[in-house]
Amino acid sequence: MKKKILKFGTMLLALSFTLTAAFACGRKGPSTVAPHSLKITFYDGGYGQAWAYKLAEKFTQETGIVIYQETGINPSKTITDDIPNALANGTDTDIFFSHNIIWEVPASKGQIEPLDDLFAMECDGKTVADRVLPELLDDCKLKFNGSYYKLPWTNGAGGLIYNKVLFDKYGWEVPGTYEELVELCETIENAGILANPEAPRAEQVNIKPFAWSSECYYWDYLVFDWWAQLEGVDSIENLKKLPSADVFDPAKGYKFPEAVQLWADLVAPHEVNGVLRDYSMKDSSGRHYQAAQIDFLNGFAAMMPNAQWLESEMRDNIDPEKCEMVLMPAPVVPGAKTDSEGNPIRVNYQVGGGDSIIIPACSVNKEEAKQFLRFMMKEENAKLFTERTQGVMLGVKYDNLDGIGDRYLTKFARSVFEVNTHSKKFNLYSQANMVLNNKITLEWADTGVNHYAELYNKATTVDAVFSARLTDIKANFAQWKSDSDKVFGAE
Amino acid sequence: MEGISAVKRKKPRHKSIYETGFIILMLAYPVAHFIVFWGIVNFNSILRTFQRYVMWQDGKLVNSWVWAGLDNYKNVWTGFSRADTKRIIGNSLGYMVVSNFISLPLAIISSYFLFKKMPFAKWFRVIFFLPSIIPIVVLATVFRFQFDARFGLVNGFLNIFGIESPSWFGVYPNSQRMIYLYCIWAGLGFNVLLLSGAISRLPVDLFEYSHLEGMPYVKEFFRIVIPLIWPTITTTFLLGLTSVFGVMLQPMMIMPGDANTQTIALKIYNSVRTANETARPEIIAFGLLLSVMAMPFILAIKFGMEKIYADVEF
Repeated sequence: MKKKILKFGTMLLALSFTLTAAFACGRKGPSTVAPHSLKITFYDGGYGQAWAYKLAEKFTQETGIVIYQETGINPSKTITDDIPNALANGTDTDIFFSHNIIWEVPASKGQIEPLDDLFAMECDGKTVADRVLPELLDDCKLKFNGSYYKLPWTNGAGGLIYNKVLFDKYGWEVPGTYEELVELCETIENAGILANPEAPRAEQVNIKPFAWSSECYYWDYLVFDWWAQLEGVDSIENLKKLPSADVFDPAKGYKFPEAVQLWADLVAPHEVNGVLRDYSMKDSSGRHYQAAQIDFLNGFAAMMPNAQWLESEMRDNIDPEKCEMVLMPAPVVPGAKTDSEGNPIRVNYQVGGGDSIIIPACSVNKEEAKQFLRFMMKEENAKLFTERTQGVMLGVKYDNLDGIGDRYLTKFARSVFEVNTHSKKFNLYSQANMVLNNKITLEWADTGVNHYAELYNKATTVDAVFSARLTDIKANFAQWKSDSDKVFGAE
Repeated sequence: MEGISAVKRKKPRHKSIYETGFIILMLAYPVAHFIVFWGIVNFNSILRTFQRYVMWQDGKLVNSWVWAGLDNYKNVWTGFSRADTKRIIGNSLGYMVVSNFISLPLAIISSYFLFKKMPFAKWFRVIFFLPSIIPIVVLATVFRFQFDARFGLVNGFLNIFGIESPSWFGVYPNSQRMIYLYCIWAGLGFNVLLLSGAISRLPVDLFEYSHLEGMPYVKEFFRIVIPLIWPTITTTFLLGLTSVFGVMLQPMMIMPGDANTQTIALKIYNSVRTANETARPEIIAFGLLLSVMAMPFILAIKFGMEKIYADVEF
């Protein structure tokens, strides 16, 4: 009996090892989705999921290529971390949509499908390449071989979002300039309006100009616009190529520190006529972002730094009597560059300009995937995306917003469209060798420091932050460039 | 001699092919696991620190690793003088201090009280352990909200006494101290569980004897309990030492984004997440160099702690 058990156990173990080895040595690639049906995986963030289901349904109706609603659409919150492994070791996903896809090296290694044929396909009487926003087109191309490997996902817009209900109720004007913004903050502060008069006296607070949180990088969306106003988009495009350390030298035209100083002058506590002013809700730099967003929705603050996903993200919590969101164009700062007619330039930072749509090279449904992307790039389908995300725009050209249902075309969605179509867009995505090799970042130094919080709490000064950065860059630039050129070749 | 020679030596029984096969197959999985997930991974990681990825050269795809000597280590060594690296290492060392000199003593004392069946001991045991079974995302959010300027219970409580609450998370190093506080709160239960287990194994006779001798609790605690659970304390202490390299989720969940509260592990994680793999050799070298530097200290402390009390079997 004992011998039989031993024999059986040995055989069972041998079988399990054989099967494990067989599966482990199997071909990389999809296994669960049937041929000629697509599986799309997307980052499940502020854009919601409704757009994917709607587009998939319409695509299936039009082309007969199946995207199963249950298994073909895969919203994921961890996709960004999963993609490198999926590209290297195989996946059953045919299309990935995500922010922060590190695609340049996987594309070089052949793990991502080249999209040159897709970009040449017909779309709305033009080519797909013609449909992509010009300022995003080159970002889709790998500079080393000139091939396209990604489509831009969204044309994001951010900055200051204001609560129109409060503005209308108290007669506040949307500021067009930095000075008007300062004046508006002073007006709101002086008004001393109770945000929650029904609360016990000890808990009552006045309406404040700004609600924000310890996730301070949302301020970037406003401050980057001010930077571009001061320096011009062309100069920032030059900075992205990192020709020398001088592009970070304020004495040689680098204006980001000036933009940050304008922010610090406005937002950090300061004296006005001998009175200490803090235009932010109490302890803003230490608050959880959800707490700050709840306060903004409840009318405790007039403005909030954020971006195009805010309304979609918070739609279930918005009480229209308390809050209606509108994105304001960045107020024009003193010293802003002007256009040929002498008007201050209108610029807008492309939030998520590096967001990507890619097809893994191991997909067995590449052609179907390309069909889906071509379908998505059509204006009517881009509008469908905008409709179902309440204002988020794809990185393609829109002539107008006609056809989007009134239910979805909120004031916020219109304001995002207005900012996007009337501004020169720019982003900070770069394929400079030093950026690809993680030696340098283009905006703040990659030091894990929350600069806005430090400045707000007077723990440092703008001069100190940028002097230290410039010293660091000047000391290391040659070495960083040499190290990076060894990896990616001389630029 | 005759008698001895008369003893028949038992002939070793040859194992059957099934017995041998069974042993080999049973060992195959752990050995393969060790080779693949420890041996190869670590060998490969160490090798990478002496290499550089060459992706493109002169417009041609190269896509291979080449020998780089000590370049990565030199870059890491240069980086140690940077203020942010010093802060990251300082933040990480803080976890060792908090784990071993605050959390561990608290856990030992709490375990002893629980063992002594203080009132509500069972209830306290659940309360201590509760944070350990709640997902860290939920726990971190709840923790943050307790200190919110408008919603927070703590601020509300302080306000009753007219005390103006500070910015708990808004400014460094307050934010870092709050993460340490979180670690004490959330980590206490795990240590209490380990130490309670160790204390409950102690022979009851010893406590009866100490009771008959009229030994006060303090003396009993230091003369009986501590020496007898010393191996468990040593293990927990060593785990606390390794927290210098392991803490990542707590700062990531409590202070997302750049908040000056990065640790060594979080820096490595962030770098791997956001950088091309060409940048990884330097990141691995950073972790490896720090581990090598710390190893003698950890081994010395282990050796020293094992010498304090003799190991007792009971």
